[in-house]
Amino acid sequence: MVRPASRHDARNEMLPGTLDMLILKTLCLGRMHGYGIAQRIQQVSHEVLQVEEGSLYPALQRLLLNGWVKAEWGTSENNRRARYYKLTAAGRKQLGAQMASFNQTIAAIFRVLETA
Amino acid sequence: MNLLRKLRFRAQRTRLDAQLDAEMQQHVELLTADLIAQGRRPEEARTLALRRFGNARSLREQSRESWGFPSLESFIQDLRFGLRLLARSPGFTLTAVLTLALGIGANTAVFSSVNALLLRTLPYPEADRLVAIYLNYLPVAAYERFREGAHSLDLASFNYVGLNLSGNGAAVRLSGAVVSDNFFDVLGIHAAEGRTFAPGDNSAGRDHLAILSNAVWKSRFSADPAVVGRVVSIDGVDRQIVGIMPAAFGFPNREIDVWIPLVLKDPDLWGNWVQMFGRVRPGVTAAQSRAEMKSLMPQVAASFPWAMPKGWGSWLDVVPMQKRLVGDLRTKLLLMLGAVALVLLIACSNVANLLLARAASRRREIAVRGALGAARSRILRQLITESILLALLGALAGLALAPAGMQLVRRIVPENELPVSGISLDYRVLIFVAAIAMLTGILFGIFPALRANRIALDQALRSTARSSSSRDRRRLSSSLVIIETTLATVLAIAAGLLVRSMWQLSHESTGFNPDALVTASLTPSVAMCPPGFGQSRGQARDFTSTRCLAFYDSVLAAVRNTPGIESAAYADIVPFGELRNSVIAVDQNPQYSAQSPYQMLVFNVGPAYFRTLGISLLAGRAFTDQDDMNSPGVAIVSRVLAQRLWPGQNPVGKRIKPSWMQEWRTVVGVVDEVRAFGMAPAWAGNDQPGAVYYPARQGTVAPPTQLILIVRTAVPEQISQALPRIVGAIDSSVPVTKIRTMHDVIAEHNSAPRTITWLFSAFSVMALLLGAVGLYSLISYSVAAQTQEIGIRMALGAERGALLRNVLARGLTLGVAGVALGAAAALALVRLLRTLLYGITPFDPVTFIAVAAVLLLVSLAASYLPARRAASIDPMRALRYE
Repeated sequence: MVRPASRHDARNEMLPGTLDMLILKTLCLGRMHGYGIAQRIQQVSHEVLQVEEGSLYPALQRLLLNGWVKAEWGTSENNRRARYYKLTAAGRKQLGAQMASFNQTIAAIFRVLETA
Repeated sequence: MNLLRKLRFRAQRTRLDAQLDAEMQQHVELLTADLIAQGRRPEEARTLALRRFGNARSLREQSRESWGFPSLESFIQDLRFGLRLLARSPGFTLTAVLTLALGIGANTAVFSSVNALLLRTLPYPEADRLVAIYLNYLPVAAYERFREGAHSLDLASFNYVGLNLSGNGAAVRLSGAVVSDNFFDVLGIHAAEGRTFAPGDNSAGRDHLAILSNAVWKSRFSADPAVVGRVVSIDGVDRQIVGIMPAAFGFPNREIDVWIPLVLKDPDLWGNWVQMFGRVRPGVTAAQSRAEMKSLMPQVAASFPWAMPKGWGSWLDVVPMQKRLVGDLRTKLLLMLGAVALVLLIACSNVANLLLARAASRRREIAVRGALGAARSRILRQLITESILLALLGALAGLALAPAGMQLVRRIVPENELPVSGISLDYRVLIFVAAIAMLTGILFGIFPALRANRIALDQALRSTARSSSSRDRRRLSSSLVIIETTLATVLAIAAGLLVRSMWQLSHESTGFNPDALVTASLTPSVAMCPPGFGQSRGQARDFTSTRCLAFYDSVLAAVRNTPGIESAAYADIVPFGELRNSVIAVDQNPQYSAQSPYQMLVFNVGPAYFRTLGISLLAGRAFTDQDDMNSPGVAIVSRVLAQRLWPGQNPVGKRIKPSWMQEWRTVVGVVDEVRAFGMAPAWAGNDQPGAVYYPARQGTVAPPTQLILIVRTAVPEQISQALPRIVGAIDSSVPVTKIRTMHDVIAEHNSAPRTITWLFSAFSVMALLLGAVGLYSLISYSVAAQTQEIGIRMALGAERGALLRNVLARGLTLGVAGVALGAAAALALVRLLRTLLYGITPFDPVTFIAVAAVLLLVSLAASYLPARRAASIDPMRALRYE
């Protein structure tokens, strides 16, 4: 799960499926290893979203299994062997679909909030 | 998900595992490096990183789950683990499996007969359209009236007949059925070889045909197909064999060896009686058919050449065949199913108790697994898997026990008297067994598993944490023990009632002396003793056929001359055999005229009948050799009949007659009432109708070809062996069958109720033992758990006697609670037993009190051993305990 960094309410989880989408979006920039993905999401969201390792690796396995990302071994910035993930064409399509539906949901939520 | 891709991933499992490991390790290192860069000390950074990363093992498991088959894999793991665990504690496993095997085996045995009789459809095409007609027997002519008048259904008829088959070896007695020409067409069954009967096979002259059963075809004709078309001598009549039935066919029952056509010939139309059944036309309901049959009733009743009793046939009913065949077996089977379900429930609560005790010792193991990251649901699943495994082992053992149980059940279900084959283990029974195994596994596993899983980890890991959770466990165990005692009480009361009733049944006087009596059936062919029926004595040919009479008389004379025989007689019917009803008109009694006759049992008996059976003569005289065709008609009435017809008067000298005959008969004697049956047949109800006896030589309507020889002798075995020889010397063509002592006849007659009683007793003993074991282990456990406390109390001066009483009281409290609940439940349930009881009410207080006393005694006994153990605790040792 991706959860807000503030731990006041540990149950305040994001919408299901969001993590997959965030990972896919992050990988649009190019190949990246697991740790990098987590760091990147944290930075970009200004530390609001923290990716738990407990969710990251199961999510990555899921994406691999669905063929939305590909994994390859490479050398990391500190010269260590690391496993890099790359977006596939199918993954790009999936990202588009997920973002579209996510946007719809968000728009719907906003409409509810504005009228309420 | 994409199964193919999943399988591909699965194939590379080891490699993927390694990659995942390496990747996660890398992640931790990168995190550590970052933390160090932020200014943490290296060790601190690593610890922090590891902590943030969490439980690596469970994380890896979760990640793997996306490409594995987690539920299947963990199930197999659980199964393996469960088997290992069970193998490690063979004592526990054996107890649990045996307990369950008893419960499941009993259920399997009873269910297999429920399956055969209540669930399977009859083996005929469109069997749902077959109907039975409740009217008992009726004359062929009356059946023909119904058949011609009814348009909602096709009627067919049959009657049972004994037949002698001669040629091809010694004469043998066959069970035969005389059937209408459309009998097989209405059932929709074809012959396996040759043909069945065709329209017109019932006309005189064309009827010399026979169809053989598969069994006789095999045993007598070595399954030779060429036998079709051959002519054999059946009862002195040459008949052509036209067909062989398939092995599975057996209607009206599976004992029938041969079917012959019912011939429509004038003198026999009112003398031959048949039973009807039918097939309703498509779209017609049994109720519509009943309405039509009832509307035909007055017309049919009016066509009789004599008056039928008033209201005859008012009970006419058309019911689906299956319902009729199963009849009152339905109640018995469902009651038994209920009883074995109770046994299974008790077995379940006992195993649940065993599991609870075991869970206590496994608490640490479960806690450790939880601490190592096993999810609660996973632990729960594993515990349930273990109990289902246990149940399945129990079911396997139960299946091994089932055939023995089915053997017993067969004694209650007269399989051969039904047209359905077999109580057997078919796929439906197996599905049932698998289902109850799963269900019982979950039932006895769920509470202990939920409890084991709820225990707080930290508490469990500290070994001293005992008191609070053990109290909790005791409460659960106590409830289970109370439930067991309740169920055992219900079963024991049912069994107690049946035992009392059986005792009543076998100890009540039968009105005759069954000791040292041997009976045998003599069955001459129709040719020798033609069946007969007439409106005057002269026309009744049954016993009066000279050749027939001469034969019986020479047999009787020969038997009487045999050494070792005290007296001998013959009769058409004896007590505890097939009984017959007849109707009489009473002289000067308008209530019972020929138009509205009185109905009671009828016996046609030879001269020394009353003396031979030991029936006491209360007034007047018995029959003599002089009561024959040439002397005035006489009759003897039973005590009950005399009271019914002439209350307060002397019956001797009064006159009665079979309602269809012309000539009055004088009552010459009164004999004591004979109880001729065990459980009262439905028609007798509670008020016995009494019986009338006619001299055999002045016979009325009698079937024909069967006479029963009754011999009183001090040496029954020798006489039983000698009888066929004595009869054979007179006429070797007459088979002598069913040579049995009267005690055997009565025992066989009561065999179904006795077996039910026996089974219920066995069930309740099982229940009682299981309940006692449950109580014993609960009390033992609580004594063991309180060893320290007891030690302290003793050190402080508590008396041993008081301690003993204390523990006993605890056991007795549970017992009293269970017995009270059980007795209350029994009060609500015993009325179901009503039809199975003889001579007592279902609320028999003696049984209730006796059963309660026995159960309380058993509770006391079960708690006595642990109580004594508690009282003998050495305080010094107890205080050092643990």
